[in-house]
Amino acid sequence: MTIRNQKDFWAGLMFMAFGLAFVSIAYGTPDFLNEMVGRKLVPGYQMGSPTRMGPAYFPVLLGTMLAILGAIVFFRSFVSKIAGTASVVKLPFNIIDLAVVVGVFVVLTYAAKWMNLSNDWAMLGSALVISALSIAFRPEAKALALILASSLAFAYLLKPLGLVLASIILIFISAYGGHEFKWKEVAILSAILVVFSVLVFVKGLTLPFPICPQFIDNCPIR
Amino acid sequence: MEASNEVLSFLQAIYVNLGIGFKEVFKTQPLTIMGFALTHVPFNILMCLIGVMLGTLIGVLPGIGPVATIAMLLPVTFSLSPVAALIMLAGIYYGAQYGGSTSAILVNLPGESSSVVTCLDGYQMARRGRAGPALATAALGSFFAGCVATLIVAMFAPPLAEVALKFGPSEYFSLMVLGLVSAVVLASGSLIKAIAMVLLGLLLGLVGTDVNSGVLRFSFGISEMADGIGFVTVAMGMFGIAEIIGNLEQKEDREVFTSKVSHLFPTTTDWERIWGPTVRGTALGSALGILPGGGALLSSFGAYTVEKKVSFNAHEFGKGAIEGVAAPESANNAGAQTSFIPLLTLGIPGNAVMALMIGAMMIQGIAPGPQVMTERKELFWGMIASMWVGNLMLVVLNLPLIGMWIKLLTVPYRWLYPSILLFMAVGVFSVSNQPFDCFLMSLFGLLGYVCVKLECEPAPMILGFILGPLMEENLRRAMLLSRGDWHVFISNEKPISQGFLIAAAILLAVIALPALRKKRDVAFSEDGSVQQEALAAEQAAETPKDAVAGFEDDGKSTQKWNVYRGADGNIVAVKEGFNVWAFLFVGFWSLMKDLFLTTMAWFAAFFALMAIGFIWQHWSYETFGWWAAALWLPFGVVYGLKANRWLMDKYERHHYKLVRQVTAKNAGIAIERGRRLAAAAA
Amino acid sequence: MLLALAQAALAQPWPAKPIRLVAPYAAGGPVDISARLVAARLQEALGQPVVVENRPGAGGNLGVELVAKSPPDGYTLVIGAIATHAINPTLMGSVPYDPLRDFRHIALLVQVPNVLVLNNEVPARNVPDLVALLRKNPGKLDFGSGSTGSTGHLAGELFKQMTGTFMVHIPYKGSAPATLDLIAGRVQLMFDNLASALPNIRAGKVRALAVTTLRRSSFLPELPTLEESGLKGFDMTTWWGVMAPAKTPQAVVERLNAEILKAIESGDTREKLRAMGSESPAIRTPEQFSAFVASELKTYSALVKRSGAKPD
Repeated sequence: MTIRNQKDFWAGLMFMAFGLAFVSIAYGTPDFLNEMVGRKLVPGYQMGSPTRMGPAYFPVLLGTMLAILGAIVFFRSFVSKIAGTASVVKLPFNIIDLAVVVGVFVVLTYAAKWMNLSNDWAMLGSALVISALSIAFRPEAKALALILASSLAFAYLLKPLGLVLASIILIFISAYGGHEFKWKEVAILSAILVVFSVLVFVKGLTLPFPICPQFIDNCPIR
Repeated sequence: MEASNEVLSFLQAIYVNLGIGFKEVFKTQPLTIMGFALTHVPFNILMCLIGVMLGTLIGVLPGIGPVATIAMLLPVTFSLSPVAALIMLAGIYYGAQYGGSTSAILVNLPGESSSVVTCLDGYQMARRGRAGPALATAALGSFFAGCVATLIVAMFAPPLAEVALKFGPSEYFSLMVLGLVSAVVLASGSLIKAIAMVLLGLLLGLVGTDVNSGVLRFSFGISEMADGIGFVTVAMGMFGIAEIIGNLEQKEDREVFTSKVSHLFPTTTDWERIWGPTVRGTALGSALGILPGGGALLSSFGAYTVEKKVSFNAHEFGKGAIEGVAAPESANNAGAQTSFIPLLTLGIPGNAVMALMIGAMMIQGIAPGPQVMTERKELFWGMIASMWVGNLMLVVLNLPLIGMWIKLLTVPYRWLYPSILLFMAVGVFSVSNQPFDCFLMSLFGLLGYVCVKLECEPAPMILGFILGPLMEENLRRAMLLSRGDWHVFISNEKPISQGFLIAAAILLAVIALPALRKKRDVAFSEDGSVQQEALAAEQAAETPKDAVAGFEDDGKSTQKWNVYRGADGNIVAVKEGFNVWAFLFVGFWSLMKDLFLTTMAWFAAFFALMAIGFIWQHWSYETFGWWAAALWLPFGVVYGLKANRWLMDKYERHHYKLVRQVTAKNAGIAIERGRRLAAAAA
Repeated sequence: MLLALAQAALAQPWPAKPIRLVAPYAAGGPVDISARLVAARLQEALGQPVVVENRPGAGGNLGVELVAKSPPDGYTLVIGAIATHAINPTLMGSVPYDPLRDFRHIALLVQVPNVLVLNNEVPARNVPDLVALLRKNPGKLDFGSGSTGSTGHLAGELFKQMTGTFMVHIPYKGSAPATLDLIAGRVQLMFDNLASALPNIRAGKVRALAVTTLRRSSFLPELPTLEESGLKGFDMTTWWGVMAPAKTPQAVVERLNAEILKAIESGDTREKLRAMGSESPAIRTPEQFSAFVASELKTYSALVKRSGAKPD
């Protein structure tokens, strides 16, 4: 068996994974598995009857359909007539990288819990670690990692550091993910954008964002 | 004669009422601004202007939608008169619809669910240096739709509200099934993957608290997910973030926009291509907007689907077809206007924005409901008049802005994308003021990126995501009301639901058949000699021996077809002889076939007859009916006779070449035969 | 250091800085609007900005929890409602706050009765008619409500229980779509909030049979109460009021109570609250309010348990 269409192969796998995940969370784990472990792994929601559908009914229905379609796409990838360059998937990361990323999140979340820190720090730390990892080991995934990390950093820094600093951080990280990074240019850009967003978002649209960092008592801009 | 009086008094009432409305809108009042006491300030019109400008701004800024803005502005309306407050809030709402299309076209960011579809072709047009025509089309299409829909609200609001009452859970469910099937048409690639994406979207839409039981579903114990995943979060991730990453991955900085911005306004060919989609989009949007349970959401998707099926530029869809901008934009604006009907006549809000309008009315001490129309005439009609004025303002404001937007695209991408990213992050964060939403946006960005790589298109998923909860809710309610009888969706007692499901089945068949055929073509073109041989053998077997040059007779049927082939390989067949459809449906047939002159001729004749009849001659409905029939007959005969000639002329104008004349039982067979002949000739 | 700050804050006469009033529901809803109306009045009376902050989520619990855990200095207030303080604790199994012990209940703002409304086609002119009809057709009629566990739903459950009849509950997402189906006749009856039902009752689109309070409503004085119609002791209102974290100083609580009562009884605000269907609440002191919340909590926890309206 050779995979003749990589795109369909991975898409099929993805659909099956999503479908089965939704079904198993909604329906709960099947009985034989529960017996093997000795307790209910995933409790699931009530199925109900067609008249009085429970919370699990519709998701199980859809999830099953999705898994079946995924399986069709998956098997089609072995018999597809379309072979050649068009069907090759070019992703800058592989499945192990993805597992590493998930691992970083999990480890840091538990570390934060253990150190009695807010989960926000775990998120920030993960963003930092993943950016560093990708710059060091996967330069081809730099854009991907830095763009995602920059919006994470912005979100979790907005409340402690305020809109001004968080915006500057977002702009610098994301600009570093691009092709050319000229720090003078980026500095000017961030100055313009900071002024714009303070004026439009906070002053104009009165979004409840802090402008200044929490630790500064007398903020010059109010 | 009584009927004529009725019609006359109806028209008179509208005239008088619109008069009240416009008077209210243009009313002046004394006002003191910064110490200057002014005696005649057109305050309401000023509020309308502020509303539409603010709406445009927040529409352009991704993520910050009209719901958040109106919610924040509610306290401001304390000090305003009820009319001024509602005019301003309504202005924000439809102003945001205009602005939303701008960011969708320029940077592939759908800030509103209605502009998801605009992204598909609008952004592609922008990438080809045609952002100007795309923006102009969106503005003008919206304006046309806004005018027509306002007129509809003014004339038919009360009877149309009855239509909303006809829609129960089973009708909504079936409508959504139809909507989802049409979502599949949005995709230009694999049919089965598109369906899978729709299902994935439906499932993601179910995350959060279940309405019926209150159970938290798929939330992994995260309290931020208790209320589900926001549309903005998903849309920004799947479209915005994925697009930025994709662009950055290309070898060099993407400067495509700057290179060839030719002209700002649509060309003559563009005009010819957009008028039909605009009219059809307006009709569909006006109809669906009336339904409070998610009808307006479907209108832009539906309009796109219709165009993709009707247009003979179908192959261009997804690659920058101007029809793909005109139709959804006019549909969503028409829907935005007519969604005021259930609010104003029944006090039932059709969406989150309408619910806020109810709040605004309550702040003013007005109980929204059927009485508003009769007891607060100046409010009801003032709002309707303001919608028209507001639409005019929007188009006047937006057309000059196009030049500025185009300038914006000449900014190097390395400056543009951090700005877009910042605006997206701010917008997503502002939805519920929690960082977790931005985390989700990043996750969806990753998913969107992977999906693009795997050729799974995000647009069908987004529609599924929007409709998921609505669909489940209505399905469960319908089943509960019918005590578990599945026939409730297809029984003869529910003709509307039945109709939608039949339409969905037909549409699915229509989609599936070309897909199957296309697969054969692909197989034929891309892979292997085996297929080619097989096909050749098949052809030899089927091609009649007594084929005359230039004409093919299958010996069985007598119907002659002219098979045309476009420059792009698209094949169409036009019948010879009398066209029954054109005879029966005259103007509507012309509209569906994009024949401008004949459509206009018919509608002009029809409206002229109406004008003569009702205004000058005091006709009754019956006399009008006779005259209409008398008018229809000659038109029908002429159209029936000439229709096919007009079609052929039209194809020839668009550089289609006559392949051959064939005889066949129906168009499908004729096209199939034409396809083979064309292949054999090549 | 923190203690010193707190003392410094106490040394100044309250209020010395802006007050935050958390509305645990989305902007534009009745709770939010009444909060904003009262906030505007309080601001004038107290001389400090009173800022309404919407913290919707988890049926109102998110915002309420936030305030329960805020410092009790009189600068953070919340609108507590029947859902968050009487129904949710039983309906959701558990809530991350104690509706009685974590709060000082300051003043009741709004009390709206529910109305039993019927589709016009249903052949029942009064409550006994309806009960007879239900007895004759058990399980044939449906009643709609804004959501599972809403007062509309629980009123229906109580009605079924007291009359010994059966009808099917159809939950909707908010009372507006339920009203639409009621007018169209897909559900036959509904226990709707007076404010949202009134326009349709007046326009003759639905028929009102009774109000769910012990007293008749001044909006529809000719409409009997359910108690008059033979359901002894049937008393349900939707209510919400201003609350503060427990241990808020007594002086602050009393000042707030007085100002809020003044605010909701002043002409303009009174009129606007009346447009939402609210009568002047009979409950006036913080102590009465606390006792009221306690009794409501007891009533509804029993009702929710019996109705079986619980997430499984």
